[in-house]
Amino acid sequence: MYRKYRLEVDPLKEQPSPQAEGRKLKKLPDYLRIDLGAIKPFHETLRYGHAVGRIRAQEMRLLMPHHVGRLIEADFQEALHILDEVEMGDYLAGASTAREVDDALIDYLHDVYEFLREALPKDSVLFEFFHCRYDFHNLKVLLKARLEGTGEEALLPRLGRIDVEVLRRGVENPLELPSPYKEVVVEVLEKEPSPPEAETVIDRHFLRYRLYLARREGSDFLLEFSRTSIDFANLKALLRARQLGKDREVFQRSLVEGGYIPVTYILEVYGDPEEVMMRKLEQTRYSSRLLEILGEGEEKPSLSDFDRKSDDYIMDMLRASRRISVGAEPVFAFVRARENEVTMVRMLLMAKLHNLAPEAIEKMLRKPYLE
Amino acid sequence: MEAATFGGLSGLHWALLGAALAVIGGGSGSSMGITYVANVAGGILTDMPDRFGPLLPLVVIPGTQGIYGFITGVLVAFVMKPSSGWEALPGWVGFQIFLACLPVCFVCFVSGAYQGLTSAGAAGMVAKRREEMGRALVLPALVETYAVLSLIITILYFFVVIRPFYSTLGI
Repeated sequence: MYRKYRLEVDPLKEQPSPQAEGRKLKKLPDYLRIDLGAIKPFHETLRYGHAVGRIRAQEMRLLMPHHVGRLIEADFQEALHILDEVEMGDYLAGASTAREVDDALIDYLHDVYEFLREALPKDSVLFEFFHCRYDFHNLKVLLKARLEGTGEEALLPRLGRIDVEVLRRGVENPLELPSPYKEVVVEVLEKEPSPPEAETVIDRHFLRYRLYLARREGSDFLLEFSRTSIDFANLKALLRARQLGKDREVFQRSLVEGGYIPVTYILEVYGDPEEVMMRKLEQTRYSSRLLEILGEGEEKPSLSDFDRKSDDYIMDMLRASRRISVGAEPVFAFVRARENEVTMVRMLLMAKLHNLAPEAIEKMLRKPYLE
Repeated sequence: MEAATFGGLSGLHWALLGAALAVIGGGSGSSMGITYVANVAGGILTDMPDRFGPLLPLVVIPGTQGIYGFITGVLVAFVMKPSSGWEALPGWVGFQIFLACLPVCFVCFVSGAYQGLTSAGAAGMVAKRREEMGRALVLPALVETYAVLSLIITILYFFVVIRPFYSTLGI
């Protein structure tokens, strides 16, 4: 499959965006150049104007907090009726089992990405930014199946950009795959790691690839999102490693460079007592928000708690981007909001199918995009 | 009789240059502004065709700068023409006409483009709530103020500052 963006540069180094490169090539002296493309708001409005118009028209059809409140109290059938009020209701009509709910939500997500593909300008990396997650996921499933000799479970063929058959052939012959998937398979096959270590390798490539795409787009917001995601992945690894009492060297291998918190700093706090570690982490850019995420003074959070709180942090970041009226940011925030919606509805419906109490459901839910 | 030149250009040349720049500046600013807001409006109309009415004023409003440039061009051609013909216009008076055209040229160019951006943001408000149209229109209209002021200044220069020289010079 053709892939436009190849990982030919180191994503950890500052790269000029293609727009900046284009500007450098112009021969005219600065004082003679009226280059509105160089002024970001003009350039972004031309590139993302249509996409932003389309998402503005759809924003009122997002899941609202009042929907979520009613969904928590409702039973499964009532929940489906409530969801009829928003767009995903059509997809979920008639679903009665966990499998049917999953299939319906995958169909819905597929259509969200199709909408994105139609609306975005051809040179935007946003589509790839969202889709690469599923390609990496599918590759992870296939490599895990190869290493463990088990079945290929939880493949998501409809959501990835690369055909699963191509990935399957690529696992045997990495040269058939485009970058950065080729490098992932080569590294995994060369090192022959244990399945959890293979997962770490794939996740590292995934996070670095997104950082590369963010640099390529030249968007500060995407860059902040990618670097924050790396930080949260590293902090999650820190929590997990401390809980399991892993070796420092094993822990080091699971860290990803490129976040705001340097890897050396995370390694430094790894061996520290709990209180010292918290105090040191408080000095990072996340300050008190990080302590809330890591649960200082309370019962230590489970990894799923950490995931939920870090998702909420990112949702707050997305909400802050709403002050940007036109550009990649509102489009990105909208698609993330749709993804968040899917996660939330899936969690709610699964809880309904398993007869969980509303109080327990409320604790599991993420913040919605609209408040 | 051939009037004196100024900076190597005759009065007619300076006047034409000023008028042309005013039309170019205003027209370019407007066309860019309309492109920006029309881009967003096009996206909204793909999913909400019924919003055409409320969106139209937002798309049209950056077009006014082009009209101000056009008015300036017309004033130079008809009102600033000496009664004894363009040949009688001295170079230094032509240069004054040129200077008087500059406010419209620059302010309309910049405000047209920025008004497009403001309208593009306001179009999002209309997409969400149709009834917000009135408020959405106020925001880009504020940008309009400065384009109007530049046109007023250009007209004042023409009639209050430059035109009295015509009777003194007897042209």
